[in-house]
Amino acid sequence: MEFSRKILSSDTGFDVISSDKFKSESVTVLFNSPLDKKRASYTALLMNVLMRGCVRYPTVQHLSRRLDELYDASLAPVCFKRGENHICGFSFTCLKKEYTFGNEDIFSQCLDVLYDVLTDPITENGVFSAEYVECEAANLISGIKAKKNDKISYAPSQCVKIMCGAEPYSADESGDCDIISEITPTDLYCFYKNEFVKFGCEVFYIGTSPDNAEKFADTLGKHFIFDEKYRFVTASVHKTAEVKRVKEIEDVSQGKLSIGFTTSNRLSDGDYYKYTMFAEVFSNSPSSRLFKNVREKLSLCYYCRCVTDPHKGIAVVSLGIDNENAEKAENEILRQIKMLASGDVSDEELILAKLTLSSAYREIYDTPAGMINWYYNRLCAGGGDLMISPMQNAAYMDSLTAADIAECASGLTLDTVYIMEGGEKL
Amino acid sequence: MTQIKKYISDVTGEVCNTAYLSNGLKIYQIPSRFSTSHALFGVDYGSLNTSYTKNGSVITVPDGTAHFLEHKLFDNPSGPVDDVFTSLGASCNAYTTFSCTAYTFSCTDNFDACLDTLLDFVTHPFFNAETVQKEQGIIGEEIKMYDDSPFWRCYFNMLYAMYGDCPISRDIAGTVESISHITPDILYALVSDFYTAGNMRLCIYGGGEFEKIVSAAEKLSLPEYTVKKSDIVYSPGVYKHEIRSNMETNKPLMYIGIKDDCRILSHVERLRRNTVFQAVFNMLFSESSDLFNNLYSQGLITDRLQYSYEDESEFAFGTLFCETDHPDEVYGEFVSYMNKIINEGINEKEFEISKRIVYADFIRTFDSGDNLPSELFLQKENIFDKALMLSSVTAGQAHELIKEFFTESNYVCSVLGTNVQK
Repeated sequence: MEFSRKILSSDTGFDVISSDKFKSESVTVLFNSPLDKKRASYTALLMNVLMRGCVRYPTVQHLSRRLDELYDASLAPVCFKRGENHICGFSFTCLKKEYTFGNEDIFSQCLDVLYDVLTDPITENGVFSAEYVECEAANLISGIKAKKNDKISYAPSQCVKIMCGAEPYSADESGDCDIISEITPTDLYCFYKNEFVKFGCEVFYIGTSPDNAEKFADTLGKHFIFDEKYRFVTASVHKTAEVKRVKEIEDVSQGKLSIGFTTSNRLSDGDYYKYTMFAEVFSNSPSSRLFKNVREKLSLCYYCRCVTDPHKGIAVVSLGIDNENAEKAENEILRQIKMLASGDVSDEELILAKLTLSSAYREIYDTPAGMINWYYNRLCAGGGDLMISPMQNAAYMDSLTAADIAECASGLTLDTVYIMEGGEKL
Repeated sequence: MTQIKKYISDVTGEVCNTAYLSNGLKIYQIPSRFSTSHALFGVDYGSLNTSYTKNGSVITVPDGTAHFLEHKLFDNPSGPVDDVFTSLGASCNAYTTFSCTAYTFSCTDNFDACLDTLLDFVTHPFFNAETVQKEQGIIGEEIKMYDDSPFWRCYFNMLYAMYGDCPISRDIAGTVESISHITPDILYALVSDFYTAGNMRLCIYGGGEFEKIVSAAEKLSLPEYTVKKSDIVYSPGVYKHEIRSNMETNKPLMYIGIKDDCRILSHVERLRRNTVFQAVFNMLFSESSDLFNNLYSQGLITDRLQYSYEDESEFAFGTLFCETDHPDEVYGEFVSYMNKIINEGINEKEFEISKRIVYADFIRTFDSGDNLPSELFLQKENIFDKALMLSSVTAGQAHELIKEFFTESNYVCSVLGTNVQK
């Protein structure tokens, strides 16, 4: 599997991941802008309104039926953040023509649909349809509020909000409910025409014949006039003043403990592979410190995981526990970090982590999403020398020692402890 | 004598190697071009099977035992099995459903050693009172985690509405109370009674030479299957048409369940029915459907409808899920939509397109290897048949099936949210 990237005349990045392993082909178009609560709200709403219909397929039903005809090609909007960059776009996947009944070139037809959706939305009185904007705003707000239903991911996200409340980073990728509810069809259309077209744009193709996708990227790029102010930004470094402790009571039978740290390693540093290795030893596998001690030895939880944002340089350890065990779990987690920071890492742990990671790097090649994620993350972090393949990165693992793990563990600074306690809600 | 056969897919050219061992164990392998190989060793024993007959007497085990056993098999006398897989650069996992328990691994290297480890740990149990007690703590936390999941609760309420109190509507992991009665002896007995050759299948996507896989499995000495699972008893029709339950959610969750009272015993027939329903459900409830577009444009739902036809050997049902502030209206729209379909028939072209969607979905399973072993486990040697299984099914036949299945007396509705109880 080979990766190549070029900048097309229109400033659009075009990335090809050539692979003949898959029975489908895919294109992902990603637009980036610096993360900002207001802009994220507009962008997220825009993606959903664009999916409501275009001149050729004016309703969800028309669009969906067209995709059904194309062997259930999937076309989905995406919206996420990478550090303090906000990313949105569309991704589609369709069967390769050799698997269709009449050797039909559905890929080019899918590109046409995507082009229509992005560039020819349905309008009324020169702006977006009021019905579509109102309905999608309500849906988006409902989706943001529904995140609370899933306490396992809601608890760590609350922890991050408490941690980085005043920074752009705390903005939700789907935007802010109050802002979204105020957006009018005219506001959104002006945003689409005047601001969205200046965003950075990257087009990924995965498959064996990239020519059509490149033509598409080039034509699409002509609709966009890239403005330097939307270039990828490096996230601000979060500084810990004093440890924040916040407890909330929710109607849950199992409490959730989330502990936020700042890390001294970031993907843009170039030697982030050290931290990846530390994370493996610390939390990511069944042989990790957290799994072995917090779950297996002390039986304190069923899940205990650590999620790191490599762009922002923060890590959140989260677990589900009985209320009375929160302190015990916190102490054990901190104790494990301290041990690792003192260099207390066995050769066996290092060998196991290297083995698991070398396997994990090879697995990245097995999914289109894995490959796109790998390269796009590196592009967000600065590109250039960072644009190495998973296997090139894996090769750096061999030289790592306990001292490297200790260095990363010492770089963790406790910032916020968030407890969602089970009980009667106040 | 082991019987070996090779099936080739007309559509994709994929090969499926199969072996039937003389002791009854079945092996399926589809070689792949991916870096990662995925294997699953599964047993037809799940959360439903809490009662069975052995030597003429009925044995009952606590709810949640199948799932508990799944956790406990990961203990070896020398330590957790996870460590062995980690030392091979691989990862392992397991899951329990109503009617099966499956143990899986994924690896990029050392496939043969991983396979030996999988076959060994699943067939060589090691339990003692101390480790069982410790697991009660961990699984207790897992149960509480699910208790806090509104989706999970709403789903089980729907099952309860359809089946009443029977193993189908009980949580797969049991309750904190039920698992407290599990002992090492119960677990040992289950392994020797159910983890038997004729009751298990080994399914692989990727992997090495098939002969090597077969000979690794031939070395296993597995007990004979001599027990009989008790039938899962439930009455025709539904227990209750509606269950409402209070739990804090942003928006009420709603499951509509459609109980299938047609019990088909032949594996091939069930697969066919299942596949036809995949096309039918897609046609009736996807974003292309009139029902979805009607609900969405009225603002009754804000996201796509999730739908499925779930089929286990002892029972089957269809589900529709959405989040809505107006469950009564959604239910009313669903009922009148189905009545209209039943009376007026279905559009032939739309059904043809839905058949094509099922076909495309099948082709795509080969692109995401981690699901393929479980497909193999459920489909057995029919895996490639699925691609063209629907080609001869007509819209008229699908309509007959719709008329038989969508009977209002078999509908249930489960609503869960903040203050939804009437």
